[in-house]
Amino acid sequence: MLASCSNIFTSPNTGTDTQALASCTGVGSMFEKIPFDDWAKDYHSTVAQVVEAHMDSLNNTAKLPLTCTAPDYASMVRPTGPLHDLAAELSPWKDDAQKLQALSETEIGPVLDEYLRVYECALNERKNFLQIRVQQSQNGGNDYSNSIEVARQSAIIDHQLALARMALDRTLQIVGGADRLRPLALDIECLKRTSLDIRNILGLVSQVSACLPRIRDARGSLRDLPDPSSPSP
Amino acid sequence: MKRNVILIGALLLLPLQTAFAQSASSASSAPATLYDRVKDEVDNELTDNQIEPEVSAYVRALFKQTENLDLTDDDIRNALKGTMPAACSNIVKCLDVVKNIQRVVGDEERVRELGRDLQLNATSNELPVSNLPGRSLQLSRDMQGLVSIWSADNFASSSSSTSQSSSSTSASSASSLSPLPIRTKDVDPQVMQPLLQQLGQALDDLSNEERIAAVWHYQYGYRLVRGDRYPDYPAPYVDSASTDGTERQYLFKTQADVEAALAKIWAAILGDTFNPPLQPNETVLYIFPDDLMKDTLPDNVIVWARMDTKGKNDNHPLGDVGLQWKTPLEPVQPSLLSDEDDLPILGGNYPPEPVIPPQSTGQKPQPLDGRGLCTDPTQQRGYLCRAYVIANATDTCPDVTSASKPVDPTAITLVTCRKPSSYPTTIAGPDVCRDIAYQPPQSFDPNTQAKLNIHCEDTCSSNDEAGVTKPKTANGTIDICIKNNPVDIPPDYALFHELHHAYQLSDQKPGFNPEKTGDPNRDNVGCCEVEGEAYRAQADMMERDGIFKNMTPIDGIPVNAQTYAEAYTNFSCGPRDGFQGCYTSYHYTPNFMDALENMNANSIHGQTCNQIFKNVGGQPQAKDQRVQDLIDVLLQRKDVCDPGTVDQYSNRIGNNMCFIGQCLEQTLELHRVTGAQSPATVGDESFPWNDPLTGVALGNQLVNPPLNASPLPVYRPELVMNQLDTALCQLDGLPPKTPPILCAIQSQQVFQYPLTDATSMLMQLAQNVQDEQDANANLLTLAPAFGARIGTDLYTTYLQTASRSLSDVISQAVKLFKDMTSVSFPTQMCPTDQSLPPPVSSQGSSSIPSGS
Repeated sequence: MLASCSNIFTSPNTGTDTQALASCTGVGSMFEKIPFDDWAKDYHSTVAQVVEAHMDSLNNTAKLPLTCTAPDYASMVRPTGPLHDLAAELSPWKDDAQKLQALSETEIGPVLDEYLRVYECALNERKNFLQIRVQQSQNGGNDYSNSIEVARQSAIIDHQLALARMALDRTLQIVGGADRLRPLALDIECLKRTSLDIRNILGLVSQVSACLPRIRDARGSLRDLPDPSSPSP
Repeated sequence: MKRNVILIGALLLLPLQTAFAQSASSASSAPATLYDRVKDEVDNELTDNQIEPEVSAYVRALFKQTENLDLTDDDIRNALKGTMPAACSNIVKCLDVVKNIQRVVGDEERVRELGRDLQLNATSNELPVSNLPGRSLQLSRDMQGLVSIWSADNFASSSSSTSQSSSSTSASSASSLSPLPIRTKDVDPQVMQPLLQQLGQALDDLSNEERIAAVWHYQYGYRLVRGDRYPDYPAPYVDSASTDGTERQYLFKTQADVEAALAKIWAAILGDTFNPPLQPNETVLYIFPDDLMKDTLPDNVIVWARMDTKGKNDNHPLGDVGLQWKTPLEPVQPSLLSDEDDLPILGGNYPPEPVIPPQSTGQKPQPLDGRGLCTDPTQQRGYLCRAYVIANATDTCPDVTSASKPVDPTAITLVTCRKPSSYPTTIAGPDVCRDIAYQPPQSFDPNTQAKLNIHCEDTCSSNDEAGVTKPKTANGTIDICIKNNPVDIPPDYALFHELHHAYQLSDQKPGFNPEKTGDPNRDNVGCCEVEGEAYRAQADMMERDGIFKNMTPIDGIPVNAQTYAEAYTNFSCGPRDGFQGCYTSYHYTPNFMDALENMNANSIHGQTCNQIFKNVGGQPQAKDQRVQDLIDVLLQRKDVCDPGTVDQYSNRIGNNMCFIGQCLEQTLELHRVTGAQSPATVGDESFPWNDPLTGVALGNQLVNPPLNASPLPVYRPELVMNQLDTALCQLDGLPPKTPPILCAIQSQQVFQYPLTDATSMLMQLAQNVQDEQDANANLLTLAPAFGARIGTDLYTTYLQTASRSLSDVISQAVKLFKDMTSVSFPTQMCPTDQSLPPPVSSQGSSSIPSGS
């Protein structure tokens, strides 16, 4: 009955499989195990954590564990904890250990979009089977109370279906604005770190060079020069 | 619609003044994360029975005024769901009331959503280039940090001692970096906590609408708003049409409690002292801990503070304290209720044109709406705050440096041409950083430095010498006398000789005379050393000028630089002056000495003392560049590497390189064969920078390589707009046209299709409208992304080009440092003076000293 959203995204350049999405169903999703009334809270708090961690990482470029010698931008920045934890629960990364291992903070958009898709799929499926799900959760119940519960949950689902995508889109618009300049910021950060190394090396060299007058003093050995004003021995 | 236009106009005119704020009504209940703030906004927009308090109050006041209805918030919420208000008695009228409520609420909410959407675009693009602490990305500050690490100057954000006895030059973390010329300083949380508490309370006491406006009002600092930074930065222009009762009534409204709280923060930092002291135009940006601001201020509000020097007007032109948003999310929405009488504001007009003072007054432009940005020391370097030098269109190489067009250092010159002669030149060899003040200015020390007093006289000594140098006086002056018409030597060479004596004395204490130490043996050695150096330098100069060319041997002794220097050194330290002579390679006969005295050497600059000087800018300078170079070196001499000397400079790459360079030079200069020459080994050429073919000292002038300018990225707005038009037309399946409205769907084209039936045609006609709406919606979606990417591309192009040069330099530096690891130092010292053969007075050997 449910239309499967299973799909394979194929890279147009390489022809290799890059993403394998799970079926569009709430069954087996991370929302199956928690009560419906906690879905929205759980979803939004998770997204908020991921976004906040991402913004924090932007603010603290100087403290980021960067791989400045990485061959590409994506490899430079490791994912934040919340992003990694979320991706580990989502099919494209959960089913591919190598992909999870290579996860980068730059993939915040795909991860959150996939999480949103899973959330929307779970909401849609519950909406389609709402009568049954409510009866199951109410252990039967009477028709009147069930219909009230169905109306309540239906309103929540409709609201969440409208809210979740728009809120995420707007958030990613702000995040995307910052992310567009992030490669530059990371390049500059790497240049800065290299420059600091050079500065510190030069600081050491300058200290060594302070000894040059004595090292190269052709008139005496390595000792302090006599004070010209002192009486001769 | 009028209000809609006003908002758009306000956003376009004031992209930086109007902005966004949090939507929650109180600080305590406000969401704490970016996503939660956005979600709550969307939630408010989506929920039918929710209405913003400002809109609800407006509807109540409006219907009270027009319909004399006392509506409640519940009435309005119910009306949105189609339920008639309880206060409404006439059912026909009530239906109209419900419709009007729905229309008014819908209109106002749409305007407010549009404002948020527009500002969302601005935030997503401008936030990354903001420089306030606590915001995401600080590219400009990071770039300035890079400059700070590399530069050579004495703006000191940190200092290091590089004396031989100390080792405080050390690595520091990246977080301690500060941009140039801006330092950063952490505030004292203990001091600031109660002050921020008071500020937060003052903000919480305001209505949501006023609080949003207040944060934007003070975004560039409360002192700027109050005019405390006048005349450097006058207060923002306040138009006469933004008073109480207008839609813009809160934009310029003074919030006394907020100002008082900000003033207390200013007072708390006003007495701060800095080490080293602030330079003119240097500023300190205070860093407030994030947790402290979260605990004390309303959500999403941050505070900033900046301190500078008093300035010439004693007004701290760059110092200020202000407010900002951590993430701007909501603009100052058009006011709906008058602050004066709570009557509804039914619309408004565009604000009048801001007044700009005439340029002839010489004042800086008034900070108009949005120009407050240009009162920030960093932002005022940007495009928006600098004038463009507009060149004549027919002049492909505008001479902006001519006297008739004085250069405005703050202006952006898109095209400039420099003549080769305008390149800065510096002297190679001595004092590598002589034209860079990389150390803090220090007072003159007569014990280690010297001033010169060079003068021409008919007679300088009883021995009728060509020149005489006296020991340093108590105030550090070394007197050099040159005879007006020296017989045996041109005055150029005499002055060069005496300058070497001055160099020998310049870093010694006043009164020091190496030839009068009180010990006859030391006096003799000292005389041989100092005269030897001076004569060898003089002889070298004469040889390079061709004086000894074609000279025939006298008494079997060749006449060259070596024999000339040896003979005169031996003579000057001989019995005539109470000494015993010096080591010589030959026995120089009286016949030989007479021949030297009567060489009739000619100077290229003149035979009299006065002829060898020229007047440059009212100051006499030696015509011979070699002589003048030595004078310059003497006057600026500072032996940074003398044992025990403590040198202080900002720990930067450029400064370290200057220090290293000076140490190397000092090493080679002080322990060399001849003063001011830099042979690294005995076999090296004395003047490696001279022209080897002619010996002319032109090589002393080093032309600095031109700066590798970072090209400004090409910005072609017309092309950009054409591309956007093309995109719009492509959406409609048409070739590009300008204006793009021409690409709108042509309704009559339906009639060109074969007629099937009337229903299909009607359906197609109806679909036309939908098609056009879809295309417009797509364009709306496309345009911000399009603009964002163009803006990012401009920024990226510039910074990547600029950083590429730096990458190249870094690569070379890395290679140099790697090469240093393979340097092997000699294990044997050069022989000392004691190892040299003793002076000879008889017919001597022809051996050449093996080292000196």
